[in-house]
Amino acid sequence: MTHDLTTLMREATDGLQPPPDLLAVVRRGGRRRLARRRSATGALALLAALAVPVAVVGAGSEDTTSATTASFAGPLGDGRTHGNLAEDDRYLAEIKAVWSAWRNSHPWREQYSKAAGDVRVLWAGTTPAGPAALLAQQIDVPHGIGGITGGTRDAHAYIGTGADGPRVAHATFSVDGRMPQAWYVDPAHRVLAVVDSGRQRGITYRWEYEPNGTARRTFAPLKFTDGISIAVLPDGIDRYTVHVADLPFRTHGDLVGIANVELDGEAARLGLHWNDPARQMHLLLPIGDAEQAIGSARDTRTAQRVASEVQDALDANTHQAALTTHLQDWIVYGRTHDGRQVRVFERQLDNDPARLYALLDGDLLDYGPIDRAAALPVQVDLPDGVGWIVAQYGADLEYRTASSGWTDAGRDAALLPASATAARVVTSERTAIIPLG
Amino acid sequence: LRSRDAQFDEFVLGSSPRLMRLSYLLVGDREAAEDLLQDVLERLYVAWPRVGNPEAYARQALANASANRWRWRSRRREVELTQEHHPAVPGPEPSGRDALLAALATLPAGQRATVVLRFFEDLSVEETANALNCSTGTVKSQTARALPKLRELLNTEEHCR
Repeated sequence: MTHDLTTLMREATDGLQPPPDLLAVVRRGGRRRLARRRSATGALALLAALAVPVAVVGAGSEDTTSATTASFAGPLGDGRTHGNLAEDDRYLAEIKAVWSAWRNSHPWREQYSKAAGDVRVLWAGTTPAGPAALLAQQIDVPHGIGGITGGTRDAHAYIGTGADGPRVAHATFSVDGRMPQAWYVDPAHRVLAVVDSGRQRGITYRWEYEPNGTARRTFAPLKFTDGISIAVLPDGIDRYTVHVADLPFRTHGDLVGIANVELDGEAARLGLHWNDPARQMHLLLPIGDAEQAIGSARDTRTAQRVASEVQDALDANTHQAALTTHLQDWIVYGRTHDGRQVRVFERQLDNDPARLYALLDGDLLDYGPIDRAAALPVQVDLPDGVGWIVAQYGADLEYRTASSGWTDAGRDAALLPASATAARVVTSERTAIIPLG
Repeated sequence: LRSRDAQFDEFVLGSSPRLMRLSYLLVGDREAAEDLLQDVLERLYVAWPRVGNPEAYARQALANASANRWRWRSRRREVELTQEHHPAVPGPEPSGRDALLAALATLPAGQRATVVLRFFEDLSVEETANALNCSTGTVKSQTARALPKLRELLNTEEHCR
């Protein structure tokens, strides 16, 4: 399989060349970025000279992708055991035994079984979920096992508390001194231990959404005691929505890895799932004469253009602290009766419920979480009395006003007049009447 | 000493074809791959004096951007793979390429980056972990999840590597 996969990938890209003007374009763009950076750094230096002393930590390090984090450059790297259990010989012996047993019984024991040095307990302390610890040990890794380069490697064990006492929550080899800097102590993932790197670190539990479509996170600074900070997740907070980052937070590169959380593939998709996942473009739902004015929903270029407008509006209004994002593949598009361009769509950040947005002539509006079970999940009351956009994929839609009976509004999505008082949603399974306003 | 620009030019001219192929496999769409590569190389230009291994830097930046940055993830769905204004990539039978891209597109971004780095770039588990800024265990689990899906979709035979 892997041989075939390698061959397939090489064949699939054989002959693929970058654009001929790539070098010129990236040099131009690189110089522009450099100029901006120098300008910004100069301004900071000037401020520092004129005002109170300012710590310009990381100024100018625009590219964080190449930055490496020393494994224990902070307080835990001084050679002694930290934490309030540092002198608890019974606990220290117990966790060393647990780690030894793990190394020799784990499915990857061939990698971990040959100790090359003593176990170092970097930190051992109590937490609201029970005692926890962080261990380091040099291991002789054989060549050719599991793709790990052989030789003496630094392994780290993140110890938590389970139903039967201490347990190895996670273990890994550090690479170039880098390793996860936080771990959940308990199997329920409610208590998080974060390593002190010597830099300021913060934690965020939730996204904050504003009516103008802005989505941001606020990182609360963590307080470290003897090399570790302990955070207890508030009720109702999902572990996949919690992030820790080095501060000031600027890009994804500032996020701190959590050892025993694998984000990818874990985030639930909480949107409407109207589009076929195999389809390689958005599902466009036209309203009014959108197809005449803008282009066919089945045309790729229309899909690209509409999706780009939506994406650019979200880009401009969203904090960078998302590890997973789903722009859920469907977009209602068209023009209002007064000629304004409108798009309605959903977007999910991390494990938060998908939310409904409208983009009206460039202005982004947040209409809150989507109720997936609702008979009419998309009900957008556009501002300025422009009307309603409603949608239910696969349904026939009708509306009525105070002075009229039911009027056909088409299928899937519709722009209704502001005077509409109710919508009727007819599917093969049910008919529902939804009051509007 | 050669100037910064001369060194950078030499690197881009020599490495960009390979990085373009990597970018394409990571995002599955030519236009997005070009955008991503351009963005990474611009950042590399800025960081050039501090970068010891530009090839590794660019590879890591591409992988991280494709795996973590949602804009690439979401944009990849906007384009039909067979649209006319993107000329076909010469090489294999189109059906084989399309099947591979369609299969890769079913993987979460992290799994996709992992298998591309492991089996296209031929990186070790720990090199992949380094590039993706994750643990070696995560690389193994991502690989273990991805390969059965690809095996099923591509109907390839089992070979030992």
